[in-house]
Amino acid sequence: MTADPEQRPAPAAGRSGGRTGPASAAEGDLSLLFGRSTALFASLAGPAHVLETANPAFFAAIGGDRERTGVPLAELLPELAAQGFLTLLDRVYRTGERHVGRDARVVLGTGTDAREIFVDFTYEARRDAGGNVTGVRMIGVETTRTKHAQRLAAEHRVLLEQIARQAPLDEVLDGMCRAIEELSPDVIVSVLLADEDGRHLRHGAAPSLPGFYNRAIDGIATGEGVGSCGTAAVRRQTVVVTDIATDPLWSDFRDLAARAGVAACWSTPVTARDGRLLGTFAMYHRTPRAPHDTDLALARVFADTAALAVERHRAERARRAADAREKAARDDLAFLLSASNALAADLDEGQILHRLATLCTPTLAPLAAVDLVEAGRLQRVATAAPTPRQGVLLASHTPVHDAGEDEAVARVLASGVTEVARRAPTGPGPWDALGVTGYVCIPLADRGRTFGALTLLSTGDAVFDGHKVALAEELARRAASAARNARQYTQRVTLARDLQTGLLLPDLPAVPGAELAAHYHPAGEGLEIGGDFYDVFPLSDGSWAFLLGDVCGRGALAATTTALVRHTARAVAPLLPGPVDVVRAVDRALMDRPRGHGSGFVTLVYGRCTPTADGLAIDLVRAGHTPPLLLDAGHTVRAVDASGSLLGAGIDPRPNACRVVLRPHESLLLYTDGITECHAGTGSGQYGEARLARALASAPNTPAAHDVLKAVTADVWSYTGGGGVDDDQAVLVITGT
Amino acid sequence: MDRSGPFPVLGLRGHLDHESVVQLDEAADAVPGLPGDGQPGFPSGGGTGPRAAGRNGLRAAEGGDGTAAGAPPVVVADCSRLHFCDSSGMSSLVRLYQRLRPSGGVLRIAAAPPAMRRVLSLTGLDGAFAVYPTVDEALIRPVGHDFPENAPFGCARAARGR
Repeated sequence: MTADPEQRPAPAAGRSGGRTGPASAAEGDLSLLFGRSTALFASLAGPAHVLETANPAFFAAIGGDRERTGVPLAELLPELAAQGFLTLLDRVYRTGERHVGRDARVVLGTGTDAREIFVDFTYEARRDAGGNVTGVRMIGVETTRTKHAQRLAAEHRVLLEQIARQAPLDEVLDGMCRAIEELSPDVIVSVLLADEDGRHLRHGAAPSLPGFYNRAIDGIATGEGVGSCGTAAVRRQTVVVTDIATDPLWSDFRDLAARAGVAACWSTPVTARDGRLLGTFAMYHRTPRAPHDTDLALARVFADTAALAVERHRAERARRAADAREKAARDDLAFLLSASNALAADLDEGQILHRLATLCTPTLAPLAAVDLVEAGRLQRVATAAPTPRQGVLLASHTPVHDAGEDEAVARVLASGVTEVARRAPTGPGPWDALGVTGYVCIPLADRGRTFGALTLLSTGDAVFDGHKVALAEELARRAASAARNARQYTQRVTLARDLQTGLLLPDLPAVPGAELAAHYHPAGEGLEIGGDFYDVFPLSDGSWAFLLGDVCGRGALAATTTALVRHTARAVAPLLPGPVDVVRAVDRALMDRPRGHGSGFVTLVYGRCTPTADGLAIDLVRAGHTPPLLLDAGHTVRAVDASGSLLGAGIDPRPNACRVVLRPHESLLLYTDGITECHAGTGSGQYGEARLARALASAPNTPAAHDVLKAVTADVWSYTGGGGVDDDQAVLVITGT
Repeated sequence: MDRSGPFPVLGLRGHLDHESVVQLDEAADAVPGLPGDGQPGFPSGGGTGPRAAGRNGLRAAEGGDGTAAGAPPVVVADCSRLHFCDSSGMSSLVRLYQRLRPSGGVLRIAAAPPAMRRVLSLTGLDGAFAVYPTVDEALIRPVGHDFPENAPFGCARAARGR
């Protein structure tokens, strides 16, 4: 085809009927010039447009083994007639005017060999020496490849953009088929997608094939002989069937193809980068045809594009599944966290277990019940259900503890192991009425000992998967721990309260010649026992003893110290002559305390009252404590001072007794520093002794003991506004009658 | 604790209450030669205690000397910068006093604020601790001259009426 120009004439002469005369020598030169060029050159003569000469590129372009000269163009290229080129040639010949064509589409060849090319060309009139038109000269450049490439690139870019945008897969494939069908108008495109195991092909996209055909093809097995696509899928190579009617690969589908109007099918497998089969890409024709290079090139490019789209789609699907799993895990964590917070909030065991039941529904199950073992019997302590009626049904069923094997709850209590089943529990129960289809029973355990069970019941289709069971078990663990702690705390608070009650004087006794009133307010809450104390008890000779004091500190050690002081005083007072001796005895008892029983010191006021003709005589001793206040008949307040140091510190207390006599309506007020040291708020000053004295003086005239007490406590309360109590407070009022 | 002078001085600053007494107790442990009081929670024997600085602001510094017999005859508590002392603070001072007693040592309280002096008087602790208006006076007074009667320790002097 690219023969040397000098040798050109010989083959041409051998093939054709020879050339015309010397008038075409110039043309021959031109032909020579164009000989090596890829441009097309042809020289036509006369009104019949006889082909005089042409360059190899021309013959290559028209193909079909038609390298002949001396023949009219219409005879050489009969297919041109219908395309209007002969008409154009006639016009140029007639008018002598040049014609320029751009991107002209020329279909060359016929039947199965038909193909199109695109050409930029010029028809120019050939003139003789006299200027008469003798023929037409054609010079052209084939732009087919360029054109194809441009269109291909444009379509391809659109598709890639779609893929990048993560347009839905069926849209991308559909668009791809249509684009190709536009690029090659006689082609019908279809894409089939392989399923995960690569054994079957499913419909992907085939916008121009009839629906019945696509439905029939959907799901065909991959394999030798299953049409072009099935075969291509297993061979992993392009399979070309130029004539469906005769090719053995289509024997099973011949009728189907005929009904769909397709006669040729070329199929290229679509494979992933790792070689997995993703599908097939098929080009159909309505008439039997063999593919050209360009067709196969197109198929390869778009098969790759399809692979990209499918892989992208699968990756996206996997990513979404992973996201969903991650979200589910996050949701679980959030649920567990908020549930844990809810369980940690309350102090009461019953509330915690009730909350456990409500937290489990409806997230983990529609129905939940909590059972506890109390004194050997099972009790249903909490239930949760969507409707009250169901709640009642659930609550009314109490599993029997010693039902042995027959009852899920009993089994779980015995084994300490969770039990799950996809049916209603064995044994009697409202299972039908509630529509129970499954259950999980989880032990509630504390330090290895199972003390109850959480039962979740499912209805309908919902099942308890491992994930739900794990969540429920975690919740149950936390609730069990919180419930046990709450129970222990409650028990300890009760213990502390009982202890404190045991340490206090329950009621003030009736003392002859006196009225008594007392106020006691320990500062601690729950577990803390106060360190202030007071006591009133009879002596053998008809007189009465009282004491009020303060142990440094709080808690159990302080409590035992107050007990020591009070019981020592009670024990020795009837045996000893007077208050001084009693106080010394208390000091000795404190100093004799065993190590470990505390070392805090004690301040107190101890006194003995005896009714006399003049009034109530009180001999009292002050041991390091704040001096008592005396409210006399004239409403004056003075402190009763007597010297004496605190007890239990290893100091000689050297107490001195002092005597006061209370006439009727005169009062003696004993108090602890919790009264004088309380404050109105942080940073404000203390209540103080001056205010106390004023409050005492503000008592009504001829007050009873409780009037005096109220005057003081009301003023203290209004000063602190109800708060500001950091220390224990104790007040004892003795009023003469 | 300042041991540069004739007697160890424990400087008390800020608030002495049940939260900060542990620092006073630990500083007391650091007084050389001071025996433990045998109470649970208190180590016996003097030794280097932790250097506590904080709410109570006690400082312990090395140096200084004790008596040849081991426990110091006098420990000075410098209360010039003490704002507040409650019963647990008093209790801690009493514990220190109890540790000094067996060897006849004296706890001198110097420059106590008025509220604290009042409490010392009410409780009669001013008969057990020797109370001085300033640290200097507490340091100058020779051993054995804390109480007017100069009685052997163990008997408190007669209570002062106030």
